[in-house]
Amino acid sequence: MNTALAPSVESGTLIWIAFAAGLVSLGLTVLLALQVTWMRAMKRRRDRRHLRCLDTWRPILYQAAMGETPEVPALAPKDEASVLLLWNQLQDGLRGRTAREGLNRVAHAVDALAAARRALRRRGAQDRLLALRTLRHLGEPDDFELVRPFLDEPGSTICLAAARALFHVDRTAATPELWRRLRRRTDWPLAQVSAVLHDADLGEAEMTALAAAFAAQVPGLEIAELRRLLPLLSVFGERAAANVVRRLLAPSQVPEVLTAALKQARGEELLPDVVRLCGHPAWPVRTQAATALGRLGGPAQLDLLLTMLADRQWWVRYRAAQALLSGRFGDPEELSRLRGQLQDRFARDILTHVLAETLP
Amino acid sequence: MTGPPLLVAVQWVFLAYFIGLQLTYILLDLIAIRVIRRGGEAGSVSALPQSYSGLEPPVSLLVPAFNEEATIVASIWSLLQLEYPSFEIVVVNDGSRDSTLEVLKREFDLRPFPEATRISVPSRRLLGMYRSARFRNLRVIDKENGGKADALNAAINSARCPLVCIVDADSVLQRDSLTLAVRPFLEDATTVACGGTIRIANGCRVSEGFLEEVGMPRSWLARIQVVEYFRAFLFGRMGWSPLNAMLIISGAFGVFRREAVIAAGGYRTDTVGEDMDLVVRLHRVHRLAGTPYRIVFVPDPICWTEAPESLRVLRSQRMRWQRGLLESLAANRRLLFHRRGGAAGWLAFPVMLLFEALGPLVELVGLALMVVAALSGTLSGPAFFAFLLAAMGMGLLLSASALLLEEMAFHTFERPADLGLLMAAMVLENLGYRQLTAWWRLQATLLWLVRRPGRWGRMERSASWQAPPEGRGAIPPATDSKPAPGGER
Repeated sequence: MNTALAPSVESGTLIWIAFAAGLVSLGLTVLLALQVTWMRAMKRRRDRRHLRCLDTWRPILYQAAMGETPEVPALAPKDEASVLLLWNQLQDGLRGRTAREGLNRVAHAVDALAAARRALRRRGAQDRLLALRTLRHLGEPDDFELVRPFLDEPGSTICLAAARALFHVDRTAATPELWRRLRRRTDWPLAQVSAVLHDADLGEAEMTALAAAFAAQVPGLEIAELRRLLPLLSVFGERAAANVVRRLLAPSQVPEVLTAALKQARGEELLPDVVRLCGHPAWPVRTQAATALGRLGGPAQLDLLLTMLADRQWWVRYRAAQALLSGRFGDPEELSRLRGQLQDRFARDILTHVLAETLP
Repeated sequence: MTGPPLLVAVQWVFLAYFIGLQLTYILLDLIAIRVIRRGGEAGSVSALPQSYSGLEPPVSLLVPAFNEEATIVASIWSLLQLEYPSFEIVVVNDGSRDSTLEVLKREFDLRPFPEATRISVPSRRLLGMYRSARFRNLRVIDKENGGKADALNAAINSARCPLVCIVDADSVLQRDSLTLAVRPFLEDATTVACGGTIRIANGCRVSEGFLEEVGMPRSWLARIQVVEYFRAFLFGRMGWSPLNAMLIISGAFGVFRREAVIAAGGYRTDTVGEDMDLVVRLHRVHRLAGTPYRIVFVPDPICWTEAPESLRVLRSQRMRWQRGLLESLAANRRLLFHRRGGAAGWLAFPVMLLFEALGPLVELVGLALMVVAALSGTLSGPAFFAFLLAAMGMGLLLSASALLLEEMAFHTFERPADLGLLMAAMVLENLGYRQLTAWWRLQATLLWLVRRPGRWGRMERSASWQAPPEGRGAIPPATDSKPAPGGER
């Protein structure tokens, strides 16, 4: 490609420029090659040190996790990251109070808290994540204020690691901190927010407070926000979720909101709303209503679902057939017999399809 | 400056072209460095313990297969072991003439499945549907041969999940590839497509569908392609992605929002560049409608695929890519300088057109003129040497910066000797390889201009990097004449 320059003239200046550009490029190439080689050498040195460090510390940490009291050597600053990484991996992987307390004893002996606090002040994402994981396991109340600002970092990984740490330090105080930011931080993957809340093992009181905060905000949420945030209802528990969903299933709601709300519909008190929406003109709403019937309905809705098997939309037919096979409307043998009585070919085909899916 | 006015004007055009080309690559390189430096956080995700909440969107993995008896079983095993909470696999046997379907039936205990078909995008006639009795999330569609795009359309019709992941049947995925590639969809609801880094599997050791050891290819041809892939992905893709102007997602691995693909009309079956065409079309459809969207690149190595090791296969691949590029740009030309075209229409599209589509023409004409001028005495020896030095130096500098990016972000090749081989490949690339591929691409351009129909050509796979699965003996080499899988672009 670069030979495009080739026919560019016999001017002394231009030849000199081309020659200089070539030389500079070659020089820079050599410099880059040297830098890559140097980076590689440094990495190999780090890796070797890391392995030596693991050889020393792995038995110590294992002994501590087994409830023994090993002799703990001083931790060299260069080994802090390696030891903290191993320590966190064991904390995440091992279960039981003995293991946790044993590992925490080693952490206190080597002043891991100070090391983690120092790492938190560094700019590297890896350092910060390791620090947040360590502070989470150590759960020192003093660290709440230190960790809180990291909820406002630009990337979601650091923020959610900070949220995880805060919930372990003080879950009551962490709940409003997380909620306050949730609406604004559209970059936080809801699946991971939900995982943070699951791992936090929130009590009844915290969950109720969170659900109440959610319900209070619902009227002010935009459609896109509702669609994004409604899946969180699955964390709050059936009753709290039902209260929010009922309000959203009003006939005047737009299809996008109805669809999102139906996905979260739990609790049989919502059944009349769901049945009503089975005839909604928008097919995504009918699809979700059919799925919800599979969770909430019973024999009284059998005819309705059989009607939906002949819907003009494939997805409605498919979800209606899946609902029929949810176990609330008879066993597969009964439904197999019922299939023979269906007049509509599309209804028969979709039921055959879904019956085959359920076979072992 | 000497010579008649016309010649001087031509010289200035070449000069402007050269400067524009270098500036563009340098800018993309700088953007990529910035992305890598800021991307430390994203890169740390895979090091964190994974916990899933059940709110992750399920994914349909769509695997088109044409004469893939050598690799299909290992590929499906690797897909079945992916770390992701909810996914299904839809394999499409696109009228294979070898025993692809039989191998699948035997290995995965396939049984006929009475699927109620749904047609969202058109595809050729289906011959049968199967489901594995061993893995309930594995289905196989048997259909008439219609090419990769047609096979993917059939798979899209059969997909049940909101996200679809396109995977080549001869590729090997990292275990965490879905988790990484789905993340942009979770972080931004407007994301419609996501691509990842593709690496060359030649020289690596793969067993039971998983990469066990990274290694350097034995042939210099494949080694040079390793450097090419570094450049293409590390600043070709990474540079455009932050501008939301990435026009290519590799056909070997890409995740798409199913409804967005259906709304755009699915894959076009009358092009050999269906992967690029879909991405450019997604840009065009969303830009022209004023709908917010994102097309994102995940830099982590996600997918490993085989590179050609013979000149004949490489020629066929490069001619196909060039043709695919031209067809995609021509079909979506409304995006170019459209008032709502954004960075895709005002930057990426013109750059693709000028420096990628027309690149081979300008490069080879430039080279030819230089040689002719030198031979005829119009260009002096020192001038010839100076221009050659500049051309080589710039090419080397771009490759070296890609090597630096690779070392900063991934350092995939651990052995010190591999680093030496990469540097040697970097030099060798400029001594004939680049000119040869430019010549093939120019041929493809001329054939496209005279409207000669495109063909996939013969693609041979050695699958030498795949260790034979236990108890199944050695995997025989496969040969196909594909209307199917695309390679890397």
